[in-house]
Amino acid sequence: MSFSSDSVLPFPLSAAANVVERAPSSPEAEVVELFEELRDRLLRYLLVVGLSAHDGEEVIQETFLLLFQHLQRGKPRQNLRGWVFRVARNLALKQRASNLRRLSRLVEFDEALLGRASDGNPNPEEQLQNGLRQRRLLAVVRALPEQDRSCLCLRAEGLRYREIAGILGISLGSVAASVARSLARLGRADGG
Amino acid sequence: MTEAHHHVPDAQLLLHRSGELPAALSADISAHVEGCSQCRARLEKLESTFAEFSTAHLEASDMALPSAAVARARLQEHLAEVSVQRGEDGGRRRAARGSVLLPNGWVALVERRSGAVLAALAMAACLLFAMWLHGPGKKSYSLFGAMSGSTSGPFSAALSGNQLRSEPDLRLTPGATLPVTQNQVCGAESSRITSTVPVSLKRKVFEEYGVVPPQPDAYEVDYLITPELGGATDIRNLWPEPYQDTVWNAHVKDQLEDRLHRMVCRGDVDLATAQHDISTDWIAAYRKYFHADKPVTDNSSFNSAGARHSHPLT
Repeated sequence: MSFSSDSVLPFPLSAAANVVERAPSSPEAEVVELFEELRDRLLRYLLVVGLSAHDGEEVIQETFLLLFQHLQRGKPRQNLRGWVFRVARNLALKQRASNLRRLSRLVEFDEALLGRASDGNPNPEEQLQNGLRQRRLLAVVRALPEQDRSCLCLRAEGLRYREIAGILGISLGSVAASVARSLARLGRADGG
Repeated sequence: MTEAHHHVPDAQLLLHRSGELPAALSADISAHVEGCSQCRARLEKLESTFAEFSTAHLEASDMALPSAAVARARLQEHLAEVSVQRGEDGGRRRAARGSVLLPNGWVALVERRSGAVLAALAMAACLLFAMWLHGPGKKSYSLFGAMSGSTSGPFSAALSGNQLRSEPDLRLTPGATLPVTQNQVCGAESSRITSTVPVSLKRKVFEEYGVVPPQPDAYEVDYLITPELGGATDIRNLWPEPYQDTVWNAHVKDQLEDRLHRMVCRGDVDLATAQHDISTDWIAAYRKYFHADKPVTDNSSFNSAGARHSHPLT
């Protein structure tokens, strides 16, 4: 197998990226290890992209099975974290598109997709105030284009700009510009 | 580029803070920011906004996260399954299914060795019979499918690799439906129609069609009869449909599904007919319902998300 990284990533990642480099006992163990490290972060990201928790879980299962095959076939193993996010994202977009088709006729569409953060539980006063601010922020984020939402959320999940660029298949400059743009918009919403 | 008297754009400030700029550029920016209260203020604002968003994002989503332990156990189960399968004969096909349940409880048996022609004839007969039994406007509909004869051997060879076409092999994928009514498919309850195909089932579908290892990047494991029209999440109703590279691809079929669903809910077509038409030859059905020989290019709005056109990477 060739070791060219471009089949997985458009450019080499910085050495500082969190790369799993040690050789674990078996591919299964390695997959499970990465799963434990990334599952929550992936799922949060998939929720932001618009999947339900259930669909998100399915996408993650599939992603890690693909990772298993990827490893078994001796494919490049630099930055598996970026690989996992990228594959999960692609699967998620497909899933979402087919869900959207099926949901688009429903009146409660907005509620189903956008109402995730707005649970009906009443909170104490200060928490309510806090919650309102948070909800306003999240509402702004949900209104962003998918790519901007992805950039911001992946950054919040601790990925580096360079990694995000690899996951989304866009340039480093585009990622930074996207995050800057989104933060400016959030900043305005926060103040107002 | 970055001269001392030029302010640093937000995007560069972010990359600078993340240590992802070339050292020389970063040094320039450090020097500038130190002496520029405006840039410092912007950087602080960016960081505080980001911190606030991060907190909100984590807190909001964490409420929705199901247990990781359960998910991990499932993954380990899947992995064990995959590992075992690798050790077995890859050409092994699922066992033959010879019986079909007709709506009124009849059981028809299809001889294993009678082969695909007889199976197809039998299926056509059953469909006609089922349609005749029910006619338009009745409340329940047939469960059809389960018509394939023995599936050992030749199909996988005939369908190997990239030769998959836009239409499923009706011997492997005759279509299968749930006993639902038009009201259920069109009414408020339709919101509860789930369309997620479990990973393990997807893998079986790929295996059945001889796509080993699975290629989820090239094919959508798609419903022949969409759940919107009462299609079942059943291996008999699923096949690997190419995303790209054919005129009659998954996107085109989506159009047909939407149109048929609308027509069924308006009462223009009855559900059984829609199920029959889409399961026997969806391309012919497309031509019929769109009155067009070729796919209509103007697609509906959900495609504006571009998601169906994304290229997954492996």
